[in-house]
Amino acid sequence: MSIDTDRTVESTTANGSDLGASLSVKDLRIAYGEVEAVKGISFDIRPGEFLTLLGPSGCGKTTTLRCIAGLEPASGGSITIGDTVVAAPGKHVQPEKRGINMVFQSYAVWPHMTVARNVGYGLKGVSKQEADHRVEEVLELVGLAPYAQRYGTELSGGQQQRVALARAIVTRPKLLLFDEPLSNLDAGLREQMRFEILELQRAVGITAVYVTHDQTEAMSMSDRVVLLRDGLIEQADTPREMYRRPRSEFAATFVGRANALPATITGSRDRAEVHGIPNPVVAAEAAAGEGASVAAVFRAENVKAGAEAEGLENAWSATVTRFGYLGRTLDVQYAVGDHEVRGELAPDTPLTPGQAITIGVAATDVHFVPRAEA
Amino acid sequence: MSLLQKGSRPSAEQRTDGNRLEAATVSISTKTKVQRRRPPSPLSVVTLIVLLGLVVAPLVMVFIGAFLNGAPGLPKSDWSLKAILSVYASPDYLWPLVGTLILAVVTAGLSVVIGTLFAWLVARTNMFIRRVLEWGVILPLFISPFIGAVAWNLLGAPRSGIINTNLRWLLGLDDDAVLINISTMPGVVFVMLLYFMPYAYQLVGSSLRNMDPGLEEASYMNGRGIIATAFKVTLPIVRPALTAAFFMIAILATGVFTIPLALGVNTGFAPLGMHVYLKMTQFPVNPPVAAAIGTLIFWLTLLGIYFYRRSIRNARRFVTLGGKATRRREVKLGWMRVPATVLVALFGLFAAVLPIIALLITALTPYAMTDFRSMQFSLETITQVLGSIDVWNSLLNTVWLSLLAPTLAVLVAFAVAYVVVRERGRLGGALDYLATFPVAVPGIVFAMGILWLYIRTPIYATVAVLTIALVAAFLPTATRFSTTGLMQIDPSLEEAARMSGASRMRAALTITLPLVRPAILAAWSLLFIFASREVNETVLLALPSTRPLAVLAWDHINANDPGAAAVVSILLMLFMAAGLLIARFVFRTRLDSSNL
Repeated sequence: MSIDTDRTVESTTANGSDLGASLSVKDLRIAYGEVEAVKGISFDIRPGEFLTLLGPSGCGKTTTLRCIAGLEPASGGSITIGDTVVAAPGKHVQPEKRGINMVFQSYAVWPHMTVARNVGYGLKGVSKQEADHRVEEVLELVGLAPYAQRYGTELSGGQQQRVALARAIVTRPKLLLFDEPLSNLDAGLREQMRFEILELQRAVGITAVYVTHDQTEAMSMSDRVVLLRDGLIEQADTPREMYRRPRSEFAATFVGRANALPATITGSRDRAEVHGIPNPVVAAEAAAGEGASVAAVFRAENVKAGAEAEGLENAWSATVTRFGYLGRTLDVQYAVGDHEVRGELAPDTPLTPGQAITIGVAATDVHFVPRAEA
Repeated sequence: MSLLQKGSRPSAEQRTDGNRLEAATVSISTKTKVQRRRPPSPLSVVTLIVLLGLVVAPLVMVFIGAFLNGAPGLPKSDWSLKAILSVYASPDYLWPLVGTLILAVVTAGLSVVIGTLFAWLVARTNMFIRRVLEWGVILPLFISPFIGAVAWNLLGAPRSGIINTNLRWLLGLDDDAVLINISTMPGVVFVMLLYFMPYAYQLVGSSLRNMDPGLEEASYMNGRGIIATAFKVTLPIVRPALTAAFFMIAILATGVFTIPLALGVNTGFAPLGMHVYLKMTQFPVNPPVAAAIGTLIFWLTLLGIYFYRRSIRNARRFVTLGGKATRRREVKLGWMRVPATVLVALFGLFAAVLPIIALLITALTPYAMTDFRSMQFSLETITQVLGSIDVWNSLLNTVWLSLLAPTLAVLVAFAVAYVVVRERGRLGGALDYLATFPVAVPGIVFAMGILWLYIRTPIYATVAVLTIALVAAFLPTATRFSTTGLMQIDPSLEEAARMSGASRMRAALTITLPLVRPAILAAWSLLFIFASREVNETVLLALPSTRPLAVLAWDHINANDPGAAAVVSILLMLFMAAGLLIARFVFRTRLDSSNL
């Protein structure tokens, strides 16, 4: 980011010279009575980084976020924002003292206040003139200046979302938390808001922690994604790495559409036997030791068919069981032996159900990952 | 940048536990969060102390009183089992006990059946003039059971009652003919029905209105008719409201004593509440026995409150708020339309119109004449009553009481609701239970405890002691309003304030309080009515200098001066109406059937 850009946004939102704080979560545990919802997770975020906590519902991502916010007490581990330890055994800094802000899933726009008063709520100890000025600026930034005197309930979902966003950045937090902020919007608006949030975060330079169960959001917005499952980190990587090299069957199937065939590693460690398929599956990289139970993971879009499949390291004779037209692609399901394989083909590929066809995957597109336990 | 992955993959069992936790959480709040149990907050500790003083201390006094041989506080009182044994171990109170139970169950059962029918007629059918008729069910709230009983004694007394006197000459019967006799147990049930049924109507009615119309429409689409839909779909869904109403009315009826006394019931059987009152006030007084009977009633109502709480808990699961505001299909009554209208209209006539007419006639005729042929009207009674300093003194007491008691009750209730709903601290459950507890204690029993608790303190001879008694009595209602109001507010609205740098206190004052305002004002308006008309507790606590209007009317009844009682009753009703009108303009709130 150039100095010039910094200048223009400095007065509105950024916290002087340091743009956003680092965040360090160490062995965080959150328990409700006997049950541990978060079972010891650790990650670090650089200043200005956009990190997403991704996972299915009940994986502990929102709980983790609320714990960073101070709305939920930790039962173990520590949280450090910048140089300040905000949560550690015997220590719990109140949420309002952490110098951070949060955008809620329900927007949480106060219905008894105007947009301007909603946004200006956090500006305590600031002169009225200064506060008005900052509210105006932030509303301008999110495009809500004409609505300043409206009440929250008179706005559409997308506008309420912007109010929540404006309210969260007007206090110039060092760290901005997002709790599934887009899940209540309809599809078109969601895509648009995705870019707006990202643009705002980049412009302001705030460190952001974003919680979502939507992998598209996670992939398109984040510098890094932390995939959670049952209160533990499954994988933490850049979106590209996570997609290309998932470390587990869960990571492979949760992010994007992937096939996972149960397989056993053979003597040559880049090959694995799949029950019911004559040739072993070949991957470009070697995997764990001989005899290990693995899943051979490959993406649906990498499953070629017909002439394209010929000459690939992995080629199987398959039957088309069904297909669905999705506009941009054709979603196809094949039967290979007694396994199901999903693939994507060009939308105008002529197919009939029951048709025999050769399908194939390049070795570079196959990864062996530890098999998920039943 | 280091990214660590710690711990091992959880086992399957642990995962199921997590799911169970999630499922359990959903019922508590809309978001899947459980607050961790924190140490008790200062607010919860303070609230607990207040509740112990308000609710527990008087009850303890009643139990102590039952084990003495004189009123607590008297120098010569000593420990004794005599009173307890005379109540629990003798057959004397067995029949009153059984009778009271029957009375309570019959009244509650009839109230719920009629209330449900009326609620359905008003909410779902094309009955004529529904809006007007609904007032016939709401107005009795303003008249109050006690004033209603006074009025019905004027109407239905066997000798001189307005109805008997005039029907005799209209129908050409002889002078001894008694057409209706309200001074009987069926008469008591009838009057209780008139003034307790509206509670059932309100509870069931709001449940009917909040119901998703789609549930009934789906039944029609599946080929079920109106009757089958009402019984197979509508009734089961409002069942929690039904049971809640049943136990609420049963508890009220268990402690009743003003109605049989005002109706001059003189049969062999008297309900337990009446025994308590008589033992406390009529010669020869016997406070320990009164206290012992009080404990007996307490066990009965304790059982009632257990079921009441259970039904209320279930009720929340059935509420389907925020559904689409589609127009509800109206049930066409056909030939039943006229009979249904007449039935509801008759109720309004008996519960509201006739009593008010009776009170007006009695206030306007000297010597409470009841024969229409020889009726003379004069303002003598009115001028005489209004000319006495007593009535103005009482009006002032009523003003104080009706402003102070609801305000304090709502404040304490909000604190309770905040601890229960938001802090969910360790004390939450205890506070919730304590605040609902006064429902289980009939006013007269509670008043006894308050009396003995404060009799030797300077506040005894002031309106303050009445206020304390009423605050405790109103806590259950106020807490119910505050809790429901608070639960409807998304917690993230407050969390957003915390994130914007507000302290817990600032968030509560600037966000929570303004948002629960409507619920709190609705509770306040309702309690204003209750406080103005209350006699069950105040009758035992008030001195001539501190008695409110309702007790003044009671004293006039006891002094056999129905004319003065009628004037005071009318004044009281005017006061309530004026208070509500003012509240409506000042708070912009409305007391209607939807928020009771």
